[in-house]
Amino acid sequence: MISTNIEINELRFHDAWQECCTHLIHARHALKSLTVHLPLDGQKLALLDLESIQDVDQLVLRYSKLQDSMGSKLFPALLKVLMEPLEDSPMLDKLNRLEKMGILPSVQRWQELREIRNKFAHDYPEGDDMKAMVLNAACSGIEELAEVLDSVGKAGGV
Amino acid sequence: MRITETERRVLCDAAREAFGADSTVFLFGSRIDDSRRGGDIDLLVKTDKTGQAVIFEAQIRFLAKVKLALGEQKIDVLVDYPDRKSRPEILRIAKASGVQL
Repeated sequence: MISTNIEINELRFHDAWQECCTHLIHARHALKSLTVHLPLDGQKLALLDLESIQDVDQLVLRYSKLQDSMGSKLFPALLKVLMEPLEDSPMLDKLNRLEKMGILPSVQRWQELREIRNKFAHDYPEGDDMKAMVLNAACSGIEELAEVLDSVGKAGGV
Repeated sequence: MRITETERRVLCDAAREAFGADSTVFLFGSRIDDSRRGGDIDLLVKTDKTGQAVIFEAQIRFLAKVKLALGEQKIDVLVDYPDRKSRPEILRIAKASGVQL
């Protein structure tokens, strides 16, 4: 029974890991296509062709999904695999534990990467300049997410 | 005004840290109406800091600090700063109706 639970935890971790890697591949692909336009500003954003707008949409979608899945699925799954008893603890406790273990460089920075994601989801209309700034922040945030994903992978043994 | 003392303190401290010691925070929208329940926290932050990139970074830092202290909830922030270009209608409403925290 105990070994079955361990197997289930490992399977869940691998599934979450795979899902995050897929989001990262697509986010990086969109980023690569947008490189010529970076850093974006309001004017450039307003003049993007249809193809590039699709790249922007893909970047927003994959950045959001990657940040979401890491926080809600991958981190909890890793802590279970590592037998850390934080299952019923608030998210902040989980993040602090991951920071202490050296897997997450900074809880504050992690939350900032989440706020960049939240900026896509809801906010007051602030014009194209501000939209461009959020997109630039997401573009540089992708590699930060990738580094955390890499640390999580190493800690979880993939 | 529907906001706890702890929330008020967290919002003011985080604003000072992210937007500078002279920044001020105002609450507007449904949370200043005592007859309503729940709802987003709509904030207007006034700061002397300038430059859109600086303001954007401060905003992200502010929101991260607040969420880490208060937990995940919907908080929208408008920032009024000296060289702000866009002046949407919501900014006028926030300035006219906001209650300083």
